[in-house]
Formats: sequence, C-alpha cells, structure tokens
Amino acid sequence: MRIGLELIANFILVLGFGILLQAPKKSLLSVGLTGTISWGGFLLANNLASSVVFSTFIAAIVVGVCGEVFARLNKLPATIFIVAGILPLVPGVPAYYMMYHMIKGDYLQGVENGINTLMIAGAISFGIAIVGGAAKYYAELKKKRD
Amino acid sequence: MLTARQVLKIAGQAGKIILSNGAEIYRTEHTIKKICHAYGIDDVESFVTPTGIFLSIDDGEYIHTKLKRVDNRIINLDKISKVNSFSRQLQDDPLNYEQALAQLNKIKTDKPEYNFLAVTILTSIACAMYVILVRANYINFFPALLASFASQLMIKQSGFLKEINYIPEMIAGFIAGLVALLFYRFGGAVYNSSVITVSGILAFVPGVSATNAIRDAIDNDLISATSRGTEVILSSISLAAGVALSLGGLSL
Repeated sequence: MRIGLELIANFILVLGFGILLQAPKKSLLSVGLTGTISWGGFLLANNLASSVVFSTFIAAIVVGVCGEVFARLNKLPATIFIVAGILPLVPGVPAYYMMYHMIKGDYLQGVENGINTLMIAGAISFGIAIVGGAAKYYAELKKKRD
Repeated sequence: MLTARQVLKIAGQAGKIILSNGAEIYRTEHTIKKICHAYGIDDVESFVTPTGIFLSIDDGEYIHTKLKRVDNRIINLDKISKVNSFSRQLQDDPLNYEQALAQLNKIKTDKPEYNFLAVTILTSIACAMYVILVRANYINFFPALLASFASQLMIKQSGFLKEINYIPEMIAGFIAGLVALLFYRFGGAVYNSSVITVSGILAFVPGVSATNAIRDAIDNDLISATSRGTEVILSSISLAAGVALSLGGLSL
C-alpha cells in the first residue's frame, strides 16, 4: 500500500518537473514512468542494503538507463528524462539539517549532515556519469560495427 | 546549393537556440556538425562554452568564422528536442536557406508548451509529493503545496529582482522557510519544518545545471563542466542562504 502510494507519488513528482522544464507533450508519460521505475529501484536497493547513499546510487543508474532507453524509443534527447528523474533523489533534508544545526551552533551535527549530503550528491553524479559513459561507449561500438 | 556563409548562419542559429535553452555542450557541437554535414561541408570545427559559440568552416577556398554570444539561459526541453529533430530532418532532405531560417525562427519564437498557471499549479502538486517520498506525516502535504506555490508566485511578482542572478533562489528559500516556520510555530509539532522547506525549494534546485555539468565532464568539456559546477554551487548556496534568513526567526 505504502509502496504503491510512493510509486504513484514519484510518477506525479517527476511528471510535474517535466512540465516545469517544458518537456515535449509526447514525452510526458515516459518522463513519469522514469520516476516510477527509479523509485522502484531505490526501494529495492534500500530493502537490500538499507543505506541511503547506495540506494540513491542505484536509483541514479536506473534513471540514466531509463533516460537512454526512452530517448531511443521516443527519438528525443535523453536529457529530458534524466533531468526530471534525478530531482526526487536530491539530498534536500540532510542539507536542511546541516544548515539548521550550523545556525544553532551545533557544528558536529552540522558537519555530519553535511558529509551525508555530499555523499548522496556524489552518488547521484557517479550514477549519471557511469550511464553516460556506457551510452557513449555503446554508440561508438555500434558505429564501428556498421 | 547554399554558400558557406549561409550554412554558417543556419548552424550558428540552431546552436544558439539549443544552447540557450539548456542543452549540453556535446549536443550543441553535434547539432552544428550535423547541420554542416547535411549541406555537404565536412571541414567544420566548433568550440562551445556555456556563454558562447565559436564556429569555423572551411569551404576549400576560404575559412569562414562566426561567433555567437549566449547571454541568457533558460530551460526549455521542448525547444531542444525540436532543434534536434530539425537537424535530423535536414539530413534526409536539405531545406533551402529561407525555409531553414524560417523554421528555426519559428522554433525560437514559439510560445512555451505550457502556460505559467498550469506550470505553477502542477509543479506545486509535484513538490508536495516529496512529503510522501520522505515518509513524513501526510498532514505536511498542504503546507508543502502552499510553500512551493508561494515561492513560485513570489518570484513571478518580484519585478526587477528576478533579473539578477541568484536572487530568485534566495527569495524562494526565504519564502519556503517562512511558510514552514509559520506552520511549525502556530500548528504544533505535527508539522515538520524541514520537509516543508525542502518541498518548497525543490522547484529551484539546479538539477539541469548539475546534470549538464556531469555530462560535460564525462565528455571532456572541462571549461563548461567547471563553470556549470560553479553555477550549481552558487545556486545551492543562495537557496541555503535564503532558508537561513528565515530560520533566524526560529529563536524568536
């Protein structure tokens, strides 16, 4: 029940960001599906390893793969799907707590949350970079074969 | 058959549209190259940074160069995909000069796909969904929606301030933090001020710049990657500063 609700919530979230970034109308369904599938990956990884950094990394990879697949299916740039898809993974809450504790003078807690934020952000960029590199490699391989 | 000068104009225009609407460097250079190839010019070099395009083609006799300055960047993925399909279509049948320029002009002046009200309302609902994702109490849903809606509306109404870089982010952070703080103080502890604030500023998180920075870095466009990375850091800092301004009221 809760999982279903979260999957639907992420569908709407990513769809809404697609509209904010003016994604083409025909891509909207795929944009939303990117959100649902990536959140499925997040929940699965979180169930296996119960580490937010690892789950975010897996979810970022899933977003990248979904982006490349949907880009080829719809003949649209992959950026459309990836940009909207990574937004729910953004480490907003740890970043907020970092600032909150820093302002209160509780620097140790602040630094702890800050490192958490940086690690999650790094996981997202690492995931996107891996898929981007793989897509480039695949395209070169395909060109060589022709 | 088009002259080299005309090809240069079409390619430069297409590159400028795609870059100023938030495309990566790789895609811009690729589009320029594809358009020149479609018109039978193979010797083309382009150097693209987030703020300008340098473009030079060699038609065998002369070298022609064009420089395009990009001074304001917005995000419109629809235009990127339109220029993308334009360059793909050129390869099948090269349009003549007037037709190609007219088509590019149409893409450039086209209205956004969705109007402001629809974007604001749908984005607010989307931001409020963040409450469900982080498993906070569902009672936070409405404050989150309000925070996101208020910050977006405030920026629309802020006049000349929204023209200054990084000020809109600060305003958004301030408004979102303020709404969260009000709910927390007068509504009690069921309201989670961190989740409300983050939902409120989610629409201003520099996701496009961050993605582009990463993709530019892996494509070896280091100038663009570092400058976009700086943009991401500055945007995040101004969001944080805005929230910090309103958090000052926490001790009241």
